[in-house]
Amino acid sequence: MVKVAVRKRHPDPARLSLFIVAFLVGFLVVTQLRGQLASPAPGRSTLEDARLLSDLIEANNRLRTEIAKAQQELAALRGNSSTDVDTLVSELNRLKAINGLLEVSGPGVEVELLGNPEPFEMVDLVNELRNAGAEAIAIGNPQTTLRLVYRSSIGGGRGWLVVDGTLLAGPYYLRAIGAPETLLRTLERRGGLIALLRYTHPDWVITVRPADRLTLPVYPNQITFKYARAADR
Amino acid sequence: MSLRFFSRPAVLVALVITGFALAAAYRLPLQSGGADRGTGDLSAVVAQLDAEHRRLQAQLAEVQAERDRLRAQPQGPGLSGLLADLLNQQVIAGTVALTGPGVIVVLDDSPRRPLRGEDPTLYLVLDSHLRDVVNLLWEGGAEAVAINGERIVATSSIYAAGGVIVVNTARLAPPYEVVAIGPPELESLLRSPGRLTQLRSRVQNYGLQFSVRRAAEVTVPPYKGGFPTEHLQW
Repeated sequence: MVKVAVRKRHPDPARLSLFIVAFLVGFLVVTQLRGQLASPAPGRSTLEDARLLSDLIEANNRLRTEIAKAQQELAALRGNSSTDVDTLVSELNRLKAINGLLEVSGPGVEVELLGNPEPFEMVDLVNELRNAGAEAIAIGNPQTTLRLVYRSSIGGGRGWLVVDGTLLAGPYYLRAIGAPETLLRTLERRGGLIALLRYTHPDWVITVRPADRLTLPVYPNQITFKYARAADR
Repeated sequence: MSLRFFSRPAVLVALVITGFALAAAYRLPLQSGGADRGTGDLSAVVAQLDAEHRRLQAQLAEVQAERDRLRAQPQGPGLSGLLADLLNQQVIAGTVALTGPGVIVVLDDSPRRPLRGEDPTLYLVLDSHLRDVVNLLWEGGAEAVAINGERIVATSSIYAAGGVIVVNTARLAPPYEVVAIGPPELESLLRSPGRLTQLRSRVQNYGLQFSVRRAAEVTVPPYKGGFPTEHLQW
């Protein structure tokens, strides 16, 4: 930046011009800076659009898989042979794995959290894993590992979490099965939740590492329905 | 002003910087114009994918309906047990519509306008508010939950993107109606002052709309998507 000292008592036209130029430069630089500060907004929305796009593509692929499974089951029901029974059993097991009622294994990521999160921060972290494409998730500490299911809840307070009724003290980890690269990239993205948590809690240590093979236990509770019943179609 | 004035080093530097700043300031609007065009293309692709998504959803619903019709027909003793197990797992997975007593929670943006210089998001329902409500519903013993007709399943996420809240790839707009089947105590749990404190403070300070009512019977629709299992071994 050009600095010019203007002495009030001696108005020199050359210095005055220089002052005006300096003022103009300052003005333009500020305008430019503000423009640049504002520019992450369109950038971010494009990034979010890209995320929506990739989510939709993935969702459509999943739908195709689901249609194929339902068609197989349909064919099995029509055929009613022993191989058809196998198809039904395989679909049953797939659903049990999704529902947390079978032990599952596979590649994925492990998120280690040395800190004392509030329940909502852990809820956000689990949500982030699901959004990143996790196929199965477990939360735990060095003593306990708990499989998360659709109705899992995280309560308690800062530094003491209650996960589905089980008290869980830190240090915490989350294990998620899915494409390690995608999970890692999504979790570690700039401006993502983990970046935000690291920024808000500089004393925490959050490590995300890929894993070739993780094994997640069966959900320990019974999933029962006391109030809900199948709606008539 | 003489020509000598322009040959002074300080003035030269100032002029060069002015030139740079002018050029840079001029280029800025052109760049954002380009970005706008890019977003336009993207939304066309999104619309196309959306249409395909709806078509696949309809196809899945059709195949599932036919499968359910066949299942309902009398089967041999071995098979009927297997089919009952399958239905039970589908109920847990969330692919079956459920009905029962429960609560209806409605969240909406504030009708107030943000004051000058205030963060406008203080007046909006955020994805985190919905996550907190859903988490509390599960804690209170809810058995099934849907937001604006989107069933919450094991792989569902609730996140903000492009100014909307996305659940199961569906872009939702306010008001957000969270329907849950579960015990009557859900109502008092959602109303208790010590819970949902962030949401409650936005209701109090910024006029966010939040209401809870118990319902004798609510219905949650089935999940219409697929489950990712590419990396899962069992």
